[in-house]
Amino acid sequence: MKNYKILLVALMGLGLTACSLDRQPLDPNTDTKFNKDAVFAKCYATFGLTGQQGPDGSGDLDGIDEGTSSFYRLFWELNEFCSDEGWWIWNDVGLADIRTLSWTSSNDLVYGLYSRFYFDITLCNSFLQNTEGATDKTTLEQRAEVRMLRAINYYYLLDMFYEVPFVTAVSATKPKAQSRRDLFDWLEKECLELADDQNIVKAGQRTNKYRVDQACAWFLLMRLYLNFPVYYESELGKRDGERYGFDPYIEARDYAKKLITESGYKLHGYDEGGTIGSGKAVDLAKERTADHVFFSAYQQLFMGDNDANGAQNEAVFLIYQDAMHCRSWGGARFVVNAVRDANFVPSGSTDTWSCFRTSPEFVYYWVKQNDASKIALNEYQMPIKLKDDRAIMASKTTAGKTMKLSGNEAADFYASWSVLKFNGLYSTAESDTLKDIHGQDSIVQAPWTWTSPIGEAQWPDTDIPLFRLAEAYMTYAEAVWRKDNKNPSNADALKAINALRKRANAASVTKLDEETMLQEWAKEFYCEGRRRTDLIRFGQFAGANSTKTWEGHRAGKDKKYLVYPIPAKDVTANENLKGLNEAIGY
Amino acid sequence: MTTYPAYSYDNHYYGWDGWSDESKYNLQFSTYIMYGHDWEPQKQHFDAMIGFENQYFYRHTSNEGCGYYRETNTLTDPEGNPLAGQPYNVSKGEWATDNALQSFYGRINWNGWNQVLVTATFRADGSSRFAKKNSEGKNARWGLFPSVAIGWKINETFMKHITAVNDLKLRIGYGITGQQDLGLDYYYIPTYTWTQENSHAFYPVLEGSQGENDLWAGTDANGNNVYMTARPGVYNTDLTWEKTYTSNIGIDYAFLNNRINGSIDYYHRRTKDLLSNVNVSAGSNFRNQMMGNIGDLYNQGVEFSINAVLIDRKHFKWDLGYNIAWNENKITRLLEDDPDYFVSCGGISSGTGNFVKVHKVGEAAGSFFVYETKKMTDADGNTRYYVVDRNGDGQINQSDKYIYKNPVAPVTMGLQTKFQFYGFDLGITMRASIGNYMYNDVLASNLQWVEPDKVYQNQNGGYHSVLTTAYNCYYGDNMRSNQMGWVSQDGTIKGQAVGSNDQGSFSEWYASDFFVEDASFLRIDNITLGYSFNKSKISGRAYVTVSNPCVFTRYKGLDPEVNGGIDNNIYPRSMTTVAGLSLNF
Repeated sequence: MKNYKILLVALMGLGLTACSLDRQPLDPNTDTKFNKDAVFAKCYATFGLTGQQGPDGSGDLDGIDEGTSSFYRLFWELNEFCSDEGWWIWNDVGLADIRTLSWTSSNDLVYGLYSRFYFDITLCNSFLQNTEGATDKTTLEQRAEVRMLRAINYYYLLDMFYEVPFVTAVSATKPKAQSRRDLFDWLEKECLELADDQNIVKAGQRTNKYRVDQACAWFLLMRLYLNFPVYYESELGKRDGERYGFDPYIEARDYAKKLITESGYKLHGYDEGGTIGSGKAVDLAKERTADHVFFSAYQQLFMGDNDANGAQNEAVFLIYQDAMHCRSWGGARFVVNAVRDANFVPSGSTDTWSCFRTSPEFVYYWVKQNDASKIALNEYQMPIKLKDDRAIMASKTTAGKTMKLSGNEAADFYASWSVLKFNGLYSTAESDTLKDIHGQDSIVQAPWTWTSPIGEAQWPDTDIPLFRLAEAYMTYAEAVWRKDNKNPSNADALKAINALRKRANAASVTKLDEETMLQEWAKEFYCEGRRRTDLIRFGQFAGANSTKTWEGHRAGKDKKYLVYPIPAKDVTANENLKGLNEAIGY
Repeated sequence: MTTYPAYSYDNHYYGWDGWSDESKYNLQFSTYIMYGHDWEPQKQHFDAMIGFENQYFYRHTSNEGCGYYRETNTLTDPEGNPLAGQPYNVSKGEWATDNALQSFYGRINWNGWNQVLVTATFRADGSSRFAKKNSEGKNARWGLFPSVAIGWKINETFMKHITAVNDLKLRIGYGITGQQDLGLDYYYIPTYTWTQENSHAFYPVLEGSQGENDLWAGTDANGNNVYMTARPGVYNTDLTWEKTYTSNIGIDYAFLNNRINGSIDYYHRRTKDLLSNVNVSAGSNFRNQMMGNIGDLYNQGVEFSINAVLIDRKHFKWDLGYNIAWNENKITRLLEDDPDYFVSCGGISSGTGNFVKVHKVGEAAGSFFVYETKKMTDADGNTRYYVVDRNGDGQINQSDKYIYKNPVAPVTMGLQTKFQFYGFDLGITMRASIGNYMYNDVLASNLQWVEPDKVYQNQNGGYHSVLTTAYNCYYGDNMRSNQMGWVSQDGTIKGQAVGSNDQGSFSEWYASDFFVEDASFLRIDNITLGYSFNKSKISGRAYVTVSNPCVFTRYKGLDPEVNGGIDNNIYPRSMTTVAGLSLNF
């Protein structure tokens, strides 16, 4: 009997200790320890990826399709679809509201973008908290770079939203909203600090082209100052106090100049001379061998080997994309596939989505309205016809048609021209039968240096130059032109703009009115996700004085569309944000 | 013309070669001690028990697979090795999880004079899914769940001499139960998710190659080294048991030789720390949604049942049973005190991540939260549905949504009856649910495909089929997804919308009350007709049973009975007929 009792007690003890309630994750894909380098890499990866699987399967965000949840795709869509640069055919959730300027705080894309920004910011905050107090050089350098990445996210929040939650540390406390001015001031201070931070790599001295250096801080400062009136004196109200003794255009000009002359970055295919705009284009065609297709310098910026063909020297911030190692539905694949259908010449991807074509209004910046519908050329012929290497467009069956994107043409991929600047080809591509822009031999199949024939063939290697030095030329031109009361023949401004035109083998412009300025921004930067910002700076996006119209632009005068509202889901989750949307008319 | 790319993602020339493996096991250890005693003369019984239980659940899955390059393939990898016959598109995955529960429990029963029954129980449950200490240093892991129930057989007392009463019992109870079934383990622990094995999610911002950097994952075509990344995951240290406090009082009765019997009950259930997914305030955690204890709610109701033997003759017998229940449900507290605060739930398939239900203080849990629509005819004689500007601010936005009905029926009823006439028998059971509403997600998600410019889809290779209900809704009822204008509250048309979304039609048409339909129903669950016989040498029974023969409802979807009130492509209940014959020799 006694033995049984002992057994009983023993069993009970066994049961008590057998399975402790302190379980630790068993999943080999997760870890409970902070790995500094891996999280640092993740901070960068948020720009080029949407999750831990690629292209989908382990997404960073909830409540939005993972393919759409990409940083690049969302900010691109929300800056382009509402502008004069183009329209998406598919009726993805929330898109119709974006392209007709009738979005509300429940728009899914706005929620997705906002959630993406705050995911990235929280990640950066967490990295900074976890590395607080580090003294080794590598970590200090990483910390400075992560601060820069956070600043980039906050920059886009500043640009696209109005008053937003401001948070620099991870905590369960719900963040308070920051006014646009306060956010501007914080960003300015942060970028000024980073520009002088001894831990950040000096401009042009980075060893890894996918990491940021000092020039990135100059770049952000340049943008902040050029758009200062929009961010600081917005039509949306709350003009409390002025900043005296300060001219934003001088600051923008100086940072632009610094970037052009001191940063070490250079325009691809252009050698700068003594003063800005006094250089000359490099004839890359000379480097062409008999069996290689020639691609213009401008085209090379957006190709599969743009991290190696020299174009990387123009990219102040470059987002990595690779067929094998870095796939996302919102990066290279998106910009290469969306604009093409299977009838286009090889693009370096075997897939096409046929859903994005440009607005007729954008086509008319290049060619007269009456002529546009008579042209049917591919993207290799169009730059020759329009005498500008940047006109990487194709018109397939528009001949004789009315160029239109709405009504019966809403789902017609050929109703307007296609903009094809991004492709996945390598600029060392071997030619075969297709005519290149100089009428030489051509290509018949997608050329690859190396790729597998199946699966990977859909994924272009094209990196995304998020910040290009060309912007410093445009900014320099616009800043001196504005400083000179928009003098149409300001020589410095003309020289800077013509530098970009020279590089593109286009004739110089001789007069700069507002419309020319806006068109030059479009011609240089179309489909790079910044059109909305430029239109707003010229007062032509929405608001009282806007006169420009384009198809789909429905609520032009309503100033609330100058910014996106805080998503209703976050207003519900964070009582500090109550009433902010109402204050700006949402 | 549809053009397929030469090589699609899953175009595997030699097929796909792969396996997956899932293993799971559960361990349970349980031990208890019982003690019991009877006092015969006093007619008293007492027993007690205490015990301990330990449960452990383990899951592990892994898979691996690939296709192969053709033997004739001439390509080489970056090192120059031929790829012919080599695997490509290799996928590999592994996943594992576990959780454990510990419980201490006890029970006391006392039965006095065959009249009074008292049961008291006690449980302390610990779940590995919750933190030992939450962010305030308090226990989140262990929950205490006592209960007590008293039964009093009144008919055994002073009423003993009233023979017409066969049974009369009063029941009173109070108890707490807990819920920890999140479907997620380790949710309170901060974790990092690595780039998955054999994935395409690497990034080139570190230094070093194989041997120098553990995170190194390869080199790309242009010579860039790529690395693994780690993503911090969302976590909630404060997550704890959802607890339900139930009080109930009831009476069981039986009269007239048990020919009439039944029960009546009243209950009040308060649920505290309701577990649900909730939007995270941006910037405060590593994801935009997370699991949390979001608030409190209560349910209360009355249930009544009666069974009667109406006719009881030798060759004719008729039984009838009827029950009716009334339930009320209301959210009493949520995370925020703000009266406008709500937690979304009830995901739908239109769009991505959209919800049509909410938890809101003062409303039933999971009430529909939608836009109001009005059917109106405009000056040109076109009849369309319009969305109503409920708050009258001259625009349509989130704040025009309103609480409209909920998926839980306030009243449910059941009826069972059985006739026996000589050898024949006929039994019918039926059920009714009154006042439950359903979001017709099938209709809502299919409606837009009827739109003229979407019936033909260039990128999808031509015309596609549409749902008849959706077609009738679009053209018959004129609920046009792409032609929805808006009206002020007094019914003045403010925003005309004809044409397409691009011309300003209301784009959240799917989140409107139009799709919230009355799903009250009366369902015949079962009809059985049989004949039994009993001869000297042979006996047996022949019968036909029809299960689920019909349902009477105004709901337009396939089935008015869908858990949660979102009808999203459910598999409908089938009607089954069974004919049988059984013989005994």
